[in-house]
Amino acid sequence: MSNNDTFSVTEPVINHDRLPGATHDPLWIAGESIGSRLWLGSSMYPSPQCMLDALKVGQPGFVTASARRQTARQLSDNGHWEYLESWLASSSTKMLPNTAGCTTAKEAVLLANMTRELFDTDWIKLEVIGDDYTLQPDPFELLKAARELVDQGFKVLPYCTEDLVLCQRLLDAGCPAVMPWGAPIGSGRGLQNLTGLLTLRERLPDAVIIIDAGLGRPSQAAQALEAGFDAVLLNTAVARSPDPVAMASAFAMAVSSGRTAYNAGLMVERDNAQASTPVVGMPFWHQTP
Amino acid sequence: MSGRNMNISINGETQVLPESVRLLSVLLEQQGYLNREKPGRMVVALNGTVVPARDYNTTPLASGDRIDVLGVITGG
Repeated sequence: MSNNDTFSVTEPVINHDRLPGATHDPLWIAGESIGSRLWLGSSMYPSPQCMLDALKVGQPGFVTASARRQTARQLSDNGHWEYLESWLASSSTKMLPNTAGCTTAKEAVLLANMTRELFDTDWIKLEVIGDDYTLQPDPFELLKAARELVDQGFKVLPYCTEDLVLCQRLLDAGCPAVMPWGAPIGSGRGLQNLTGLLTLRERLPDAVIIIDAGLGRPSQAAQALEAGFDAVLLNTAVARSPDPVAMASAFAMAVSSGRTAYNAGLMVERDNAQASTPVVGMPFWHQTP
Repeated sequence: MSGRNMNISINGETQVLPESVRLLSVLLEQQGYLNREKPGRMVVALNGTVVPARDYNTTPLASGDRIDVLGVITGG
């Protein structure tokens, strides 16, 4: 090779659609292919346009929303819904209504039925809160509601804790996936009980498990996907960032990265150092006398 | 009997309505839900049971009924 020969070094072009975390590694739940392992909430964005831009960049598999009492005027001037509806009509993102704010199975079943009529979907993110301070789910009412809604034909995705037995019972009830919290809603603390979550993953190897709530950083989403969790659902971390659109992009890349790493297989950790560069052929030799 | 009134709770607020408002569709129209240029997406429950839109015209009301009208809100 002459001195005139040079290697051409160019910036790599990343096509996110071709990453294993995207189209080549689909997530199946209840017989439906979910377009992405990043799921986003629709709340707390600075404006409907900002929400729409974040959705365009994040390309979430699901977007969550809910239902509340409204006057005729409020219904008529629902800007967020107009933007959300336009996104749903032009993308592969699915609508995932929630039952946020419910504290009993009875309330959750009624609200789920109302969202089914409102959004024309059988998917429901089932939330039944048992503690106002931590927003921790009430496992007993949650399971009761899940059983009833499954009987009514809903595809129930329950927001739960990482309790192994609870998750098993929810799956036994017919939930096609479970959604344990990473940390309390809106806290941004990440995978707070990593040991418990990893145990859940290990004990329920065939279950679809989505980490829902508590993620604050893209690295925490990557950690969840690396560990073999199937998807993440978050809202505050993106919507409350000073730049929600850029943060949606960061989370999308983190999710793709984490899933790609999981599929590739992580190295086994060692206690001690092991040189990466071979020592054979060194012009000197370190020997202890 | 004409001239009698009904107490109907609409989104938690009790309203006294003439008995002529005897169908859910009439009530929703009277409250402005159906006759706007842009009505908006909504779901209605009568006493805790969802009423599909196709049944508004045939759902009778009685004094003491509880109506909830919900629309989309953002959520996580």
